[in-house]
Amino acid sequence: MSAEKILIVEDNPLNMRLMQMTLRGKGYTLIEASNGEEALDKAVKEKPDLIIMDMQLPTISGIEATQRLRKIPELSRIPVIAVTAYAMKGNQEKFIEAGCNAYLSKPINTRELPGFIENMLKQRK
Amino acid sequence: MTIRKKTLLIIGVTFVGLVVILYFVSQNILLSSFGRLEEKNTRQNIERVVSALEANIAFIDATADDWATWDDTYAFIEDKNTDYLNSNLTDGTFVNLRLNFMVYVNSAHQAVFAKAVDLGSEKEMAFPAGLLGHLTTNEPLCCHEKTDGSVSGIILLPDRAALVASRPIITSEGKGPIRGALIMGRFLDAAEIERLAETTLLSVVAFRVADKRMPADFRSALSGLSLEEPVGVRVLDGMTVAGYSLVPDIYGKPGFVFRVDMPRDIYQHGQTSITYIILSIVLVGLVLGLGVTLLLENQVLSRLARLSRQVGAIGTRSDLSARVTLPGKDELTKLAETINVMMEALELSSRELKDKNERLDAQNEELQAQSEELMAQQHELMEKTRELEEMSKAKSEFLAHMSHELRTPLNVIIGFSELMLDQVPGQVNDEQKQCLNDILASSKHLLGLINDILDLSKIESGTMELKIRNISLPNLVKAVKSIMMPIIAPRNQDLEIIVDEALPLVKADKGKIRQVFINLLGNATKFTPDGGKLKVEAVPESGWCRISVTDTGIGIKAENQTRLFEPFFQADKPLVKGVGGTGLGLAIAKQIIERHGGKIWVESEYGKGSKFSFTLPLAAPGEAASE
Repeated sequence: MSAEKILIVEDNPLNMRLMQMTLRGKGYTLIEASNGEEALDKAVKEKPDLIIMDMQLPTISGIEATQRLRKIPELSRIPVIAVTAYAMKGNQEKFIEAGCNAYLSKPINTRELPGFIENMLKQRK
Repeated sequence: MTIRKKTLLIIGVTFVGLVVILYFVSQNILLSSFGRLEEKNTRQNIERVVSALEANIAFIDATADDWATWDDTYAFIEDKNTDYLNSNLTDGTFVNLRLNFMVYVNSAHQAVFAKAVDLGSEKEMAFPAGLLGHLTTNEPLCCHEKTDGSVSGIILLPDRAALVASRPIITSEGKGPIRGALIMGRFLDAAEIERLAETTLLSVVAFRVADKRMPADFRSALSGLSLEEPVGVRVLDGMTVAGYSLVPDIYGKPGFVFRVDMPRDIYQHGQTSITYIILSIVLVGLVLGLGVTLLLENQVLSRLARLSRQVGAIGTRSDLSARVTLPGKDELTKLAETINVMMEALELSSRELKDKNERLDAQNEELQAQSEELMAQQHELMEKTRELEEMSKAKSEFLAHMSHELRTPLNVIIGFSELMLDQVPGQVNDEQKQCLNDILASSKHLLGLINDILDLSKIESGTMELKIRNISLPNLVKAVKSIMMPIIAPRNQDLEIIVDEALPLVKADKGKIRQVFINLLGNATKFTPDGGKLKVEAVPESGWCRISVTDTGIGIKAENQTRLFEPFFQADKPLVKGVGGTGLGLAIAKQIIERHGGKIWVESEYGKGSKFSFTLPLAAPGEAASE
């Protein structure tokens, strides 16, 4: 069984490194994208098993990127975890509507994130 | 109705009434008096006529007495000598004595001599028929038993009536025996009645009672007369009154009725007098009415009209300075003066009113100015409020933005610290671990501060929306307990929950109230020594639920109790190191409770413990939970 691919979309390099370090050594293949368009390109090219997407991105926003992703048939079923700085419920519902499967509030809990992702991947199967 | 009409009406009615009363009084009292007077007079007159008749009879009786008590007559009745006849009983003797007949009857009741003379022609006439029938035996005319006997009166004969007298024939000395009776008589004819009228100066009419030619008034008068009540008076018409008298004949039977006619002078006079009195009263009434009217017109009405015109003119011109004038010294003049006094008072009060009005206008202007100023101020205030709101909004936005900007690097610090502690990048020694723990704790505290500041600013700027539901307090307290137990349990503190399962639902935002519970319970455990007691209690009371969190901790000094709910105010340090609060927990709790409409307060005794209480509105009975 090949390693599962996780696409991390994050514009802040520090956060990106934190996320990489959190998921390092867990047996996943990590792919990076620093903006929405790059994320879409990488998703089409790599066909990841799961996408962790920051909602506040330069150029196109996380919501728009997710919406576009869902329109590509072979990518429409990939789970997307929205990572957001907003703690407001209204916004969270907006993300689910846009096509996200789950959401995480910053700060990311490095001790809980691996288990959360493992669960998401299991559910996908 | 005008005064003029009223006055005339009153005078008119009074006079008409007076005249009517007077008329009836005079008719009833005066005229009946006059009537009585008239009757009395008439009665006297008819009695005078009867008296005159009786005087004539008495004259005949005296003549008969004279002749019968005479020796010559006494002799003649026996011897019937012609000398006596020739010298005494001539026609002239009859005329002189005004006798129509004489009869000498002897004691055998035989007429010795009888002769009749017509006094008009002064010649002997046929002896009246029927008279001799009265001279028979037992007839009172010829049967005298005493020497002084006398019979006189009226005798009714078939064709006429006569005044008659009979005396016994005796000697000149008045001695008997009685040799017969001497009877003398005079016809009661028209001439005799005329003589009666002349004697009494009255109009006399007489009829025999049985006379068929008797007029109707006689008949009706006769029906009211009797021998006991022989006199009566009757009014024949307006001009004439008549007195009647019934006179008996020598036999005591009703014989003749005499009537005296009299003009109703007295009555007429009375009537005329009354007419004159009434006429003069009417005249006086008219004059008085005219006089009163003129006086009223002159003294009252024209002056009243003048006064009315003047007052009316004042009213039309609305000129309060005008005055009325009315010469004279009576009540109307006084009224004019009173009107003037009133006008003066009106003028004065009008002037005062005007002054007051002006003052009011001035005040009004002042008020208007003030009002404008106030409106300007209000506008300014609104402007400032708006500015403040904008500033507040800007502050909130700034804080929200800042918290995001602050949290992003904090996330990184916290995340890497955790990863290093978990030795993901590689081995760390104990000292390094200690450093990493300190970094982590400080970062988490900073994150808490940032979160609290964000919460508080959201509440204060009003951007925090409450999601009010009907929530079950027992369930909420249980949830809070499970959150807090990991903190409380290691301290060996006893948490007592006194919340009735049947407690009514409260209207609240569940998440926010949970935060309040966590803040209060967190404080309680922080400031209470290990092994201390904590208590959560909820009591419903008239529409509200009072919830209290009590501890047996260090308590709060009285001077700090009031400032306790201010942001960043911290009275004492927590008893456990590393669990310092942000100093915002109570300020946030206060804001949340007050946004629910409730109150929050503290009761505490320094050194013994604290009790924090707050109230929440109860849901209406019967409403279902809507969490």
